[in-house]
Amino acid sequence: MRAETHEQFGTALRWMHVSAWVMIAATVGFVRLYLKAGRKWLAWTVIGIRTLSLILNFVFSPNINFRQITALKHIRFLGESVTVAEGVPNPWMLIAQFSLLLLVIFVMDAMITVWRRGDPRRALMVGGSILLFVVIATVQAVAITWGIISMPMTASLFYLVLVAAMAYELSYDLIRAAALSRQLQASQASLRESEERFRIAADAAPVLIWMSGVDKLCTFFNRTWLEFTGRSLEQELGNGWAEGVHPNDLQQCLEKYTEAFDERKTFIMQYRLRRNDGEYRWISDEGVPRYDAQGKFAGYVGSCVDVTELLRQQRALHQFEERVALAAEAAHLGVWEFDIPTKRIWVSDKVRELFRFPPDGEITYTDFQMRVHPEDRDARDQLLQRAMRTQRAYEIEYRILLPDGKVRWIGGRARCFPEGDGKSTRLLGVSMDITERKQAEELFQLATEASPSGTVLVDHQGRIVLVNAHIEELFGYARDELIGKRVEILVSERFARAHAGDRANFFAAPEPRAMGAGRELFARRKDGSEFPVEIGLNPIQTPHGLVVLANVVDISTRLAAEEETRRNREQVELLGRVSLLGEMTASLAHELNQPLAAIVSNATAAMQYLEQGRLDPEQLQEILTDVVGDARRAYEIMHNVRSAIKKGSVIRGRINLNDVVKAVTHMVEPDATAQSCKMQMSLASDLPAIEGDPTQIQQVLINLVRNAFDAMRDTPHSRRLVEIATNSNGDGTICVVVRDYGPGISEKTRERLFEQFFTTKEEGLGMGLAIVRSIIEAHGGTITAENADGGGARFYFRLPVNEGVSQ
Amino acid sequence: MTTPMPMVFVIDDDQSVRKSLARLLDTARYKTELFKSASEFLSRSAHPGPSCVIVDVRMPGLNGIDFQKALIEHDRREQLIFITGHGDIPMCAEAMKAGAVDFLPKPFKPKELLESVERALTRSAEQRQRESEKNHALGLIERLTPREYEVMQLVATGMLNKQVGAELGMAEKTVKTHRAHVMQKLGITSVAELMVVLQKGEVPPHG
Repeated sequence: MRAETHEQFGTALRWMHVSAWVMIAATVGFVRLYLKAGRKWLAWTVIGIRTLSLILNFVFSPNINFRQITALKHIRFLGESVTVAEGVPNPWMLIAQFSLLLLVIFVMDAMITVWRRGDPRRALMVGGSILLFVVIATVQAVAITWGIISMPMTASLFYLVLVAAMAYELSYDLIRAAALSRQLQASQASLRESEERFRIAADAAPVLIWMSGVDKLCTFFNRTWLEFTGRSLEQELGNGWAEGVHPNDLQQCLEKYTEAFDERKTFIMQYRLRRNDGEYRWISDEGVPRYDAQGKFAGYVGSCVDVTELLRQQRALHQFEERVALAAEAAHLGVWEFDIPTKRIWVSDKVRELFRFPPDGEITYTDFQMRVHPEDRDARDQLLQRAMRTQRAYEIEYRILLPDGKVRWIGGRARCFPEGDGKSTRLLGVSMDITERKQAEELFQLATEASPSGTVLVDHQGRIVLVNAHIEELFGYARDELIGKRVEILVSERFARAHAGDRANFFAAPEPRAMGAGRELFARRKDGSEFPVEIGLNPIQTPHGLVVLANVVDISTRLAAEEETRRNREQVELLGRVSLLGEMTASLAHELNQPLAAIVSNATAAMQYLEQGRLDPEQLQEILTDVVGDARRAYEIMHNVRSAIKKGSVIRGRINLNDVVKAVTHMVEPDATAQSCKMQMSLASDLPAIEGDPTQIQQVLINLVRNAFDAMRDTPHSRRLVEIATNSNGDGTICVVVRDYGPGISEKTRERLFEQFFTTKEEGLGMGLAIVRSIIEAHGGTITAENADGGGARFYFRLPVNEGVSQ
Repeated sequence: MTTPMPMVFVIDDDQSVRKSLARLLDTARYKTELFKSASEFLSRSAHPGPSCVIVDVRMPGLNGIDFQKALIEHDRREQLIFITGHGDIPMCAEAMKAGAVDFLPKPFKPKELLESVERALTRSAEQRQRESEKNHALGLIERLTPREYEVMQLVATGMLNKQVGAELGMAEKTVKTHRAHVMQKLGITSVAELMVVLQKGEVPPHG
């Protein structure tokens, strides 16, 4: 810069380009190496073009800046006299400038990279200074060369700024390194301290604690561990601990550890570890990865607990549960549990099978409800809700509809299990298939219904459990009115009291037999009326105790038929004895009507002949003879009747009328039963005997009593009563009264009551009372009929005590 | 044709009843015949004229009701009056249903009995009349040729000759000839008379 000639100046300027090349190369190098930024190809391009300009600089004369230096000027710069040139600028100089432009681009690109990397300070510091330098240097070079300003080429001056920036930058790093080094020292100290604290804490912990480093080898075991195994820390370190693990568990134990370790995962494993007394104890080991303060993986830390006892308890519990499940299985019981707050339901496999739920997956209350038969659904729901509300146990039987449309009966019990505070949150229940039982019940019910007789099932308390339709029909009760009631409501009041005792006896020695053997049994209808029954008793042993199956047969029809037969037989006997009553009177009527018809015809004929004037005396005599013959015949018939009565009087004896009443009552009992009439005797004591024909007096009474029965055909059953009384009158007569509760005797009837052929009965002949009167009169007595107070008729006859019968 | 005398038959096992009835009937100038039992009556040949049978219900052997059945079985048309010493309602109803004229309990009123007999004989006579007329009409109709019978049946429905011819597929003239033969053979001159003959012969209407 102090050249005195043109050549000197040109040469100096030429060599100055070498240092410029060095500066640029150094800058590029700095950026690449220190900042680790900038594009590599751009870096090489900058250096390449700069090198080209350097070559051209030596090709051109005097240099790349000037084609020709025309003059030299001396100027003062920074207190010194320096030389500057004037001349023709060389256009090739632009290549050098172009390289500088590329450098600017390169640096800017690098700056952006550094900035983005998160170091804007460095980017601005280094990049900014380089840019500033390059821009100033370039502008200066161009300006000087083109003679715009007058100063020497002093790029190095600006480079100083750049160097200063670089220096600052480098020293900044150094300072920071020193600070880091101090921090590191401090943190290492605190780490040591915390590790120490950790060890103390770990040693005091009741659990077994271990630690391992990044190499999986164990670096620490706490005192609890060492005391447990009875080994020293040195023995356990590394893989030494594995010696204490049960050989059967070791493989699995190491695998799990390694696997979790490689994935930096938490693990829990159980294995047997030898205790200091040589016993292998079950250990539950939980390992977690640990990291240092910088978040760097530092190995694992683990804690172990002796779970041997816990496992034993669990196993016992499990075995217990298994036994319960087994028992439930054996009993075909499904078990379920309903957690009330969460509404979650746990069900056993058997429940799934019963309800045909899928083999797994959650079951909801709705799932259950949907299975329940629509008719039973609400009832079941209400029962369950109530059970949960009232904390009570319940029992239930209901139907479910299986997906295939079949119906299954489920029997279930459940109860709430109180928790600690006494409030239950769990409903625990069992369910079982009771379809077969229900079907059997149904069959039983059907069989019972189909039974031709009335069937009543009675439990040991005498309560009615079941009845069939026949019973409803027989007794006039609806089924619901009977179920649960005492069986005595079906028994006649007369027997009801005795019945309870009989029942107790039966249950004491239950065996099939007929009820009330030998006695006549009467059942009571709802309306109070009674009917004769035969009852067969069969004891049945059920799980709920002894019950009795009673078969009730209404035997009134059979009894009536029996009575009919008996009565017929009796009548035959009676006819054989007196030929008076019943059918005999019909035959008598027929007998009488024949001669009567003949008499009427003959007499009419005679009158007609007479009218026609063709009756000769002979014919008249003939007719009259016939009339007389028929009349005699009729008389004979009547006489036979009377003589039969009188013939009876041959058998005379002393008669106790009370005995006669008793005998007659017995004889007409079949009629009484058939016509649902009751009889009541009221007999005078110390009744004197009378003299007479017992059979005839018997006939009189039979006739009167049967008339009484007939009179009450339209009387309600409950009022059908015949009262028979004997009285001894003070006047030496005995009075026998037969009273009924029929309609009584009308005024018109009363006058003709004892006339022959007078009857109020549709099929009657009007002979009965006529004969009765004959008999009574034959015995010197009288017979009267009147209406009784309170309704009905009263017939009474008086017989003299010591009066002989008038012949 | 001479109509045989009406007859009243009495069947009763009681002789005095029989005898008295015979007298009573005689006063009304009925011809009577008496029988001790129903079987005795049945062994007699049927009376060709109007007849009435008075029969006791209760008799040893064949009783009144069984006797009635036997008569119906043998297609005998005697009118029956039942008498009974002690009759029962169901038996009476049965007898009346089977066509008995009356059912009288003994001792019956003679007047009632005679009225019943008169009713029975009238019924019997009518029945006989119907039957003889029927036989006569059928006898006449039997003399017709099948073709004449066909023509007669159609004429009886009120068809004109022309229609009859069309129906039977013959000329109207031929129909006329047949028709004249029918009239001649049946001894009638009008369709109205033809209707009477057919009705008496109980010939079912055509179709």
